[in-house]
Amino acid sequence: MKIDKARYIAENFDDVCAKDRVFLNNPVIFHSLGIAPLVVMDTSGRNALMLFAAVLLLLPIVRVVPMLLMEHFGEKARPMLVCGVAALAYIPVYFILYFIFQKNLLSLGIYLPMLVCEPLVIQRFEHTLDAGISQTVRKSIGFTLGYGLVLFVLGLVREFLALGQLFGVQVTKLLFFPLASTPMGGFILLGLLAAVWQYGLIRYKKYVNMEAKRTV
Amino acid sequence: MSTVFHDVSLFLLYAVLAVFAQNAIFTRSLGVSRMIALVEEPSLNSVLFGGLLVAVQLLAAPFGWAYATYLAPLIPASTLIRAAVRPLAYILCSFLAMGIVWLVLEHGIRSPRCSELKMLLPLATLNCCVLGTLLISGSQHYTLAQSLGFGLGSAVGYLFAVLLVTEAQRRLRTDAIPPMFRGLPITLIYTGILALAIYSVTGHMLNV
Repeated sequence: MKIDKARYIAENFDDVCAKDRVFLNNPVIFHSLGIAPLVVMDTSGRNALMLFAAVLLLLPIVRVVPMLLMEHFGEKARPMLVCGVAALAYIPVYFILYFIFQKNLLSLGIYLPMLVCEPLVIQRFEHTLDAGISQTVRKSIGFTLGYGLVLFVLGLVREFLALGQLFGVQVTKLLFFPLASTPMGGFILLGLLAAVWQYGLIRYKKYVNMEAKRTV
Repeated sequence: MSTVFHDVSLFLLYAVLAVFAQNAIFTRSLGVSRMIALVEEPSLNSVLFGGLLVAVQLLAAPFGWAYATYLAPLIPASTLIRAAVRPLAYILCSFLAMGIVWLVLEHGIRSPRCSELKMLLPLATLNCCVLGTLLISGSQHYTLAQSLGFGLGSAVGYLFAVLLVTEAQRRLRTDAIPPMFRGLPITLIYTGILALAIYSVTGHMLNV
């Protein structure tokens, strides 16, 4: 790493983290958002893909539309507005998802409609909606990518450990950890993934600080 | 008389099941993100939150039951519309319940805690535990007594889980935990082990 870049990151580490929503400020690992679908339904690459598509379609609408409508409603109506927009946006999103994934979508059970109340999607009702549209869209894309990364990593690991498959293709007949497909396995594996992620962040911070102190 | 006894038994049975064997957090992970926020944020009063959750769940259950029994069958099942409008319908049921609780807090109760309760009310209402419970009650075609029992039990079970994890969090704030496991990782692993303990009682089918 170049010394100038390392110095900049070391001096502004919190700001750099805040801007990066995929690795350094991941919505799942550092904000504990969207855990329910991850723990229960993210048991395969296919489920991860369906959940990712749902969040990709839902999140930008739920972030932007309430911001545009906010001036017509009082501050007290913000939670209802954000959640109401999420529930209304779910109707066309459901049709699109059904068109793409057909009956496979039903395997997500109640965890697909529950996205309209998931803090990952409606988190904005707890904050004022004062950012610009482009900034909000950028943030929502970052959040979606960060969430998608965890979805795919966890989904594929669980599918491999529980069934010996990857995206439905049998890789091995050995079932390393059948519990991985259950919610308790999901909790434990997500906890381990979060620990590895935090370890990576600690190591990265150390590396950046070391590079920043380097003189030659 | 026997019908009343039967309904009361169902209510109690479903309430007890929802607290322990079908605990919202440990078996279905409903509202786990909110639980972690509650556990990590000392300014949020978990017991008040739980009390509001109980009120909202109990009030939303009859609305959810009425929708699933009388309104949903009017929409043809063959179309996708019934599935697409499901969350909107149940969110409206939650809003109705929230409105009633808010009115009671505004006009019926004189307490210094009222403003804190009003602040917590949207957090308790717009919670996956409420929506998830309504969705389960609707899709399983529960009766009114079953819906009420399941709603009450889910809320009490949620509060039970929050208190259990809060106590664990307090004990786990120690240097014996490696830095990489502190915070979310250890909370999730602990929750997973508790879920495993519950499954050891109720049983679970594995893909073996």
